[in-house]
Amino acid sequence: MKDRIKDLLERSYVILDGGFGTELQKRGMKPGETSEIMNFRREDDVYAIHRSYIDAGANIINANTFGANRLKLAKTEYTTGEVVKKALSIAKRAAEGTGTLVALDIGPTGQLLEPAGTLSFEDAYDIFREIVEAGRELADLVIIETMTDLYEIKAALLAVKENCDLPVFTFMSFEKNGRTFTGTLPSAAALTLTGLGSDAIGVNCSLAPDELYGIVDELIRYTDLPIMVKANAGLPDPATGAYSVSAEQYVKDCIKYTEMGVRIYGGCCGTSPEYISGLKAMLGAHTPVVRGAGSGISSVCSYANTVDITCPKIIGERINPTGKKLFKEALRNNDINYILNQALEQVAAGADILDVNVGLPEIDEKEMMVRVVKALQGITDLPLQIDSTKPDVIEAALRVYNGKAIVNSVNGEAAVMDRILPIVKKYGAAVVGLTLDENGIPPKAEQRVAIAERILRRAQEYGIPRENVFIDCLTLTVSTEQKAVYETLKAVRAVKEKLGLHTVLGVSNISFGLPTRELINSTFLSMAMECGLDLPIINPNITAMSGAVFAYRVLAAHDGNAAQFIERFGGETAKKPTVPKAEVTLSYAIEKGLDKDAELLTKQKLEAGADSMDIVNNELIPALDRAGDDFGKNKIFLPQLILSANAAQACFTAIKAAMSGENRISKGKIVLATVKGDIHDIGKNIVKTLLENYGYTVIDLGKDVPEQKVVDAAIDHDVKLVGLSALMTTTLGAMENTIKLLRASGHECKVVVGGAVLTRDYADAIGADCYAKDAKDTVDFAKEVLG
Amino acid sequence: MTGVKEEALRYLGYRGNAPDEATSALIDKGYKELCDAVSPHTCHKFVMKDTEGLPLGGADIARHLAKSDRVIFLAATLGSGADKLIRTAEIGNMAYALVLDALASAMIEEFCDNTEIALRSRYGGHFTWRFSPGYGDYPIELQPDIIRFLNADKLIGLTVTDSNILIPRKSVTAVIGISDSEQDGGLRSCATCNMRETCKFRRELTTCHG
Repeated sequence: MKDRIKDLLERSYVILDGGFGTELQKRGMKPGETSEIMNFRREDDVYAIHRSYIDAGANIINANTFGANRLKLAKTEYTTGEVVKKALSIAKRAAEGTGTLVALDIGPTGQLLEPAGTLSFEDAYDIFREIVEAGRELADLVIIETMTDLYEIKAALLAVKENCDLPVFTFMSFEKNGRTFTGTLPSAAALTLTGLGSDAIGVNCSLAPDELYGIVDELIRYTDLPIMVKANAGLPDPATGAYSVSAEQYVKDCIKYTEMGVRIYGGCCGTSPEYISGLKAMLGAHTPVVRGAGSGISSVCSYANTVDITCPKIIGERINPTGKKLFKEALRNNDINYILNQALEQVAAGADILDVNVGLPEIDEKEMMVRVVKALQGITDLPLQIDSTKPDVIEAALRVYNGKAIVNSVNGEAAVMDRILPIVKKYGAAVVGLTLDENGIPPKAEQRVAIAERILRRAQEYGIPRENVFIDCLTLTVSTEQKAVYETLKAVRAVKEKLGLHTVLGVSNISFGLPTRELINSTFLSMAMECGLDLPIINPNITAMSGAVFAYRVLAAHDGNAAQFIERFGGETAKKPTVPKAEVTLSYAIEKGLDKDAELLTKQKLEAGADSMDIVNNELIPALDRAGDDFGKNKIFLPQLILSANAAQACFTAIKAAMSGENRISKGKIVLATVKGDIHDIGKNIVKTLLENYGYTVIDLGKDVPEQKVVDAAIDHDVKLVGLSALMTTTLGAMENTIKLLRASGHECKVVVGGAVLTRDYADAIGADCYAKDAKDTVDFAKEVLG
Repeated sequence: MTGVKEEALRYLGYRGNAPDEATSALIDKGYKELCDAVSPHTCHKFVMKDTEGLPLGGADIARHLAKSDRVIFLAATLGSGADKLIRTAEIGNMAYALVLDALASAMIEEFCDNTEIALRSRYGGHFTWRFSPGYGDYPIELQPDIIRFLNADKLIGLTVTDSNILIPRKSVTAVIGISDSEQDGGLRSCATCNMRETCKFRRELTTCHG
């Protein structure tokens, strides 16, 4: 079958079918009815629609399986297996003897994946796996279409690649703003789907053909795969359901695609066999041009942000526990927020890509890596560099990554390459190759270049294109090997010029053991960029470092008119930490929510020898209490209360930084959760902020938390207080069940509940110990229970 | 101050009190960032009320539509950009997240108001106010049927979870009745609202509907 598709793809053009739902509606299906059920109820109509598209000239037709996933079929009497097999058998019967191929058609699950929605990546994969398993014996190929979330289409594509050998075509749907509803860019779709092994890439649904030229052009720039267009016949009229673009217009607007080199054509909502026969006639007269070779530009991406490596780009190095006490502590305590803050700080400082290293001997690196990658991509668009030496950690991270990542790293050792390069290939990532091998780091530039060549060759043998191979020529410490600096720079230049590969360097190593390391680091960075360094791994929070990159981009004429430089540094007046005015005390700073002042004043007190517990008990908590009282009396409002909490947090952070890891301040542990089925967690997060700044340790289980997970956490952490939040009347039942299960477990603890729909009566009725009408109430109850 | 900012202050509990400087600054910053992050989309269907199989249910909606012979089903969303902005703010700055959440709530209401104005001029007639599932006894469980009926996941990227929560979060589905004669009972009331026991506006002796 692969051969038949291959033959087909070698033709100058291929024709797909057109709209199916709209054709069914013409034959009497009502809006809101499930079209996959029509395989049973209107089998003759389904067959007739297939026949009409074959007669119109379609080379490939879609079986009526678009929504045949277990979520969408849940309210019907049919299973995925039944629908898929039935639909494919009807389509096969229609195609028999015509040479037309039949595709297993896979559409979205209908639910949004985490973090935007509640469906996990793993569950989405499993839903698609079930469809593929049901259809793989009957289908000639798989078509995945109408996807608006790159993460979901990745789950579907992986499910196809891992569970059958069929060719697979992938389509996403874009809006007029050039993105999908979830923010996916065409470039990111092209890079990611190409890397994952799609056989053709296209756009379908959402817009009319004349609205998609720009989007298709962007796809073409980022992939060499055949491009497909399957547009809508415009938009449906809300009153009549009629579509706005006629067959004649549709076909006319598609002529431009032949000039762009698009080879696969079809139609989506509102198109009919008339549109398909029109396309066939048009393509007979306008043979699509043959596209030239791709740009060869290296790019990496998240779903919403593509970074082209056309000038030096900053890889932020801060998500790494090496030598960082607080980071290690955060990893041990599962404090994901700490790590996310490290990311946000680097984003603000101008990083282009974030390196992610969470290796620590005493934690499960794979589990932590998956958690951190998932959390990071929920809050930042920057592409990630997965930094680990362990193949299983790398694979787990690449699997859940929503985009095209970089793997850091392999080296010239054959065994290392053979372990890691197949993973890089499977997930379509880029990879950093270190110029060392089993014999260590060779001293001479030529030797390092030779290793780089070896890595490139091996990568290409595994099917990794050269633009996805980046080389790290290795920075040695100047204080111990002064002459080695020039060997590194020489190697960078040679890799760039002779091998034509992009280069990476961890810059900060250079200055170990020297004073004012920034001076050495930023000078070395500038030297390296002039030698061809593309991807410096640096601490972007240090202005001398990120600033050197921004300045280089101006001087090397990458930053046209210095626009980015001026945007970043234009308003800059020498920023010094503002010294708080004399009348600003720590208490005042906390009450007024002045977080910078609170942090600075705390540091001053600690340096002057103040006891950290004294600061907490005598200044921080009374100040928070006063803010709380004012809030209770409507003198201040919730945002101000939370601003005070933020300032207290800044004070706490300063105290923690000054203390050793073991000696942490904690007034007791509290488990917090938003109950199963509920995803409104802003209220819970407010409570958490406040509790933490009163010195309690909060074990935050997040939102949509299964009942048993709350019980397990309460027992595992031996907590005396559990807080539950619910915002929907429909999820109050889950709150009640959680409390029942907690009581049944025999674990002694108090339960405090809150949320907009709760009342004191209801809280009593479901067996809670306390009803908290706001965050302040929860703190008061925590004081009662835990002191 | 735009209407959105004032409305957001109301959600934050200010009831006419002027916000302090820090909160004001957060509101200004949040409004600007939200405007860049949102991607408002809406879709609707206009049908005769006697059309078979409409996703309606309960006595309250029947009463609401009593005088109408035409019905508009409406869906609107700010898109997932607003959710992401709020989620990111929650990492480091809860006060800002809270302000963003209130602003986004106000913004989706304003978007619905503007959409409704466009619908009024398109379809004419007398409109009822927007009645949403979960209000009165119109079952929230019909949310998936409304989404499917409107094809809202395909048209505007609006989905619904197993527990009938709309995603993206800042989204609305609603029903509007249209008649040629004056609508009566046209005022929204707390009597039919299922939030009446816990409503923070009622506690303050005001209402959410002004």
